[in-house]
Amino acid sequence: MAPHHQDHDNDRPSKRVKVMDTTDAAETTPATTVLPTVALFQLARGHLDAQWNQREAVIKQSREITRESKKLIVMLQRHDPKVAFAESEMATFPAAKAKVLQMLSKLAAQFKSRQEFHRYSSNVKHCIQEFLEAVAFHHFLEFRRMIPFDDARLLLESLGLQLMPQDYIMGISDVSGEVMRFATNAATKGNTQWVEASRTYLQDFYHACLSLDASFNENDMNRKIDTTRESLLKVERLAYDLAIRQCEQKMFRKDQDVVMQDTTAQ
Amino acid sequence: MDANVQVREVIKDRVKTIDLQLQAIQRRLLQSVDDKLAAVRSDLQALAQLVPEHQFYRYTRLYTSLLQTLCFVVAWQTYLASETVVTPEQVAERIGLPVELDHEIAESHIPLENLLHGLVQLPSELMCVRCVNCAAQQDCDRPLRIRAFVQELYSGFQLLNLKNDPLRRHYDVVKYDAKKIEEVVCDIKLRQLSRQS
Repeated sequence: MAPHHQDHDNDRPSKRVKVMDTTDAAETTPATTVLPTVALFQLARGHLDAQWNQREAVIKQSREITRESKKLIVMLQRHDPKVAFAESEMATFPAAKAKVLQMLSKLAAQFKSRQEFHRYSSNVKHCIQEFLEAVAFHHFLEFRRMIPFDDARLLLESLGLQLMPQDYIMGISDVSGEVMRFATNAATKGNTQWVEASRTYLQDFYHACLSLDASFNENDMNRKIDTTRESLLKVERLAYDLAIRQCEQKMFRKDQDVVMQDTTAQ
Repeated sequence: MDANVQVREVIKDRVKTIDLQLQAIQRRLLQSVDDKLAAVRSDLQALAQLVPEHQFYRYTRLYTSLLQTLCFVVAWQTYLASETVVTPEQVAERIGLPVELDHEIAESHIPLENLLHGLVQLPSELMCVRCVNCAAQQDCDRPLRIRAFVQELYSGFQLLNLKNDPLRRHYDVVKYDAKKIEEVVCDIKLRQLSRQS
């Protein structure tokens, strides 16, 4: 099969010349002329590697932020319903919150431009929603209302990130569960005020959810609306139970008074 | 948010029309499609105008496969014309949008991955359409050239550190295509059908 070798050489006459050129050049200068295809793929490799590394860093930071945000929410849940809400009362809360804000700034610094944010938006979506949940819950405890979109957006933009409407709504939806938990705690301590406030909040929020039209097509959203509804029903039940118990107590005291009067009369 | 949804809808519509045009082109790849490509190009320019500023990646999911197919068509055309691997500059010129290489481009552009996706589809097309047909039609030099071309592409792709994403899967397919082309070439050589043997 002698022709074998010749075949290979004659395959691509133009390429053969190029290959010989590079070997000649290699003998004379260290900087060889590289085939354009190879150059393209070397460039592509650098580009893809850099992008992959950045994505990994973003994902890692995003996970940490999610964890820290969850810790914030746990801290907030420990707030005593009887006391008026003041951030300073919970010793570790301000420091923890500042830590999360700093982490978010660091994350935002990774993005070289506004456009870059969208490139990784699917990776950071979750941590932004979690952070928003903490912020919104905080807002509820302080003002008993939903945090407006613009306030949330401005907060995130001050950190260098962008708030997409979908992320806002998804983050806010999770607050319903936290409010329900908080209301349950308050109810066990007999605190009607907070239970009522929670119920009002959840009712308003649920109605707002219903007014969202179907163009907002996230499947998760429907699940979250259902969860909100369940939280609302639980809190309404709690309010009902508390009210009944209070009526009973009033009646019990009235009966007690009657009994006391009878005994003293005798 | 409604504005966002509207923009998405309009973009989706445009993408669909361009897609149809591309499909028509793909069916007739062996013939000259320059005029159709020009129509696609102007539609793509209009699409690029639709995307709000700085939000190219926000809607990227809607048109990424479109761009991949477009890159593939251009790469195929280039091969037919000159049997070389298309360069990013050529792609940018034919399609009318810059290709993102080493620096970031703010306006609408073609991300490098889409170009790679286009290139990675070449070997299978070559294999199906050209290699076997050529051998059947007694054009026995072409498969040899095809093999060298695919080897060049394949070794290029081997340079990349691919992760477990769609590009990686296409790249795995290239391996099999290269093997099949090798088999065809082997058949030809065994029977000494090539004029050069």
